Amino acid sequence: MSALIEEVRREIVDLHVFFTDWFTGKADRSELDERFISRLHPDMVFIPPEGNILRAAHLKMGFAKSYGANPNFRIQIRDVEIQHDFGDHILATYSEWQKGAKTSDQANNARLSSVVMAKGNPLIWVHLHETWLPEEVRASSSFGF
Amino acid sequence: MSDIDEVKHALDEWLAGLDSGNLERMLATVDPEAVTCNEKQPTGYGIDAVREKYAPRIESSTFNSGFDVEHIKVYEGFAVIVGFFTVEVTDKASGQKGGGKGRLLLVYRKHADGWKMIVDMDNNDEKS
Repeated sequence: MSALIEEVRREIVDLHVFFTDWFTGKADRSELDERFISRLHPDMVFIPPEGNILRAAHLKMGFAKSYGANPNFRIQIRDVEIQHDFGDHILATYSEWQKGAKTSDQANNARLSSVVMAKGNPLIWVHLHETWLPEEVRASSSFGF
Repeated sequence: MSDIDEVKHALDEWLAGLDSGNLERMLATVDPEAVTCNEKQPTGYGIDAVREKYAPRIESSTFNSGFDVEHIKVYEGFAVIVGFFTVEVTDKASGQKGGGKGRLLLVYRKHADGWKMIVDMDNNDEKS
């Protein structure tokens, strides 16, 4: 399991490093497919904390419009855990801490995520659901990253 | 019964247990390793956390719940459901009504005696 958790942690962190690079304009525009869209299952379902249902096509369109839109945006990933190994898939949870988020009600926010990934090289994101962490957890934690 | 029908049956059993105030009927559809992640609430781990969450609520209130399945997919050994929940809560003592609605993710794991909920994650938000 230790090799798998490291692989999952690296995948989650790498993807969010890309998000930061993308929204701050550090990434090259040509990297969108290679570093993000290609990691999503064609039928991938993403539900952000606002509760709407997004598919891979929505994400691609939204990202294309928001390149470089937030130069001060930062993300930190914490507490990656594999909750269950189903053989071909894993179910993991992690928390995502955002600083300087322009499009959220709170610029410094924290969310809990559950992700289903298909095993393989690379891991493929099949389902991602996010919900807000308790306010007392967010308020008492450090955003010094 | 197909896997999808069996998963839906487990969900229906949960809702029927909630609406009838039958905690054991609800818990019969919960995996021992269930993770409960409700919006802005502490994460719960294990079936005992589910029991501790719902026991006082069922003691004090009655429920009228609904669930609109928007996405369901069965994989090898587990299943994912996304839907929109509604719940009306009535305080037994005062008659005061409350409730909520939002989008809900449920993951079920297949056991020899049926499908059991292993992840419950929700957003309290308007349908979109």
